[in-house]
Amino acid sequence: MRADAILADMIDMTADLDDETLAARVAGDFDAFAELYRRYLCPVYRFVRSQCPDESTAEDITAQVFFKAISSASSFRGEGSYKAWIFRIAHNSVWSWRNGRARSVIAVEEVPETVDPTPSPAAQAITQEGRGQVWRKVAELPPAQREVVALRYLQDLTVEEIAEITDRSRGAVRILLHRARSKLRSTMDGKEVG
Amino acid sequence: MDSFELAVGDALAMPVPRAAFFDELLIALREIWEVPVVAQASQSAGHGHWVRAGSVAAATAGAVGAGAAWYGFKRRHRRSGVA
Repeated sequence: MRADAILADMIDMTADLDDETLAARVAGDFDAFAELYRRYLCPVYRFVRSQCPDESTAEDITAQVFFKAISSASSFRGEGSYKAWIFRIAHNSVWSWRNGRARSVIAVEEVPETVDPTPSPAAQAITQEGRGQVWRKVAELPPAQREVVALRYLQDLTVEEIAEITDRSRGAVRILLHRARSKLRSTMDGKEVG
Repeated sequence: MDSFELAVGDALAMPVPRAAFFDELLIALREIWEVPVVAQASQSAGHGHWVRAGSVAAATAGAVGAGAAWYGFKRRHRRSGVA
C-alpha cells in the first residue's frame, strides 16, 4: 500500500483526537498510529538530527524510534503525555547510538542540507546563514547540554518533562540548561546573527 | 522564551525529513503492523501462531519484532540508494 493511500484512509477519522486517545487505539487501529506518526515524525527527526552528524544517521535513528513506538505501543499507559513517551524512546535511541559510536561532538561542518525554508515568524529576521551559525554553536555543546537545549527550545518541553525523558533530576536539567545558555550567549554575544 | 531562545529553537528546526523517507517509513511501519514478523519469538514461547507487531502479544516480543523490522527496512532503504 502506498503512503498516500494509507494517509487518505485515515483523513478525518483521527485528526481531532488527542495523542493519548490515539495511543490507546494503536494495537487495533493502524490509522491511530499513522496519525501519531504524521504528528511526530518531523519533531522526532529534528530532535535526532540535532544530536547526530548527518541525515543518514538521523534517518536510521528516527526509523528505530518509530519501530520501537509501534512494537511497544501497549507499554504506553497514559500516565504522562505521549509526546514525553516518544521523546523518551528518542532519547534512549540517541544515547544507544552515541554509546555505540563513542562520539561526543557533532562534526560542526554538518549543517543540515534539507532545511525548512520558512523560519518561524519570530525569527524571520535571521538569515539562513545566521541559523547555520546558531546550529554550529549548539553542535559544539557537550551532548547532555545539547540534548536539553533541543528538548527545551526546539520541542518546548518543560523542565519536568525533560527530567522525566532524560532520567535526570529537575535540578540537574536546570543546571545543564543554565550552562548551555551561558556558553551559547558567551560565544554569540557581540556577533550579528544574520 | 526570549529572542535568543527563539533563535536557538528556530535554528534547530531547520532540518526537515525527506518526503521519500516519510513515505518509505510509513509503508514499513504499516507492513510490520500487518505482517507477522517474529515467528521465532512465538515458537520459543511454545505457541503455534505468529506474533504480530502492534498486538498485545507483541509487547513481550516487541524488541525482537522492532529489531527485525528495522533491519529489513534498513536493507531496503540502502538497496534503494536513498540513505
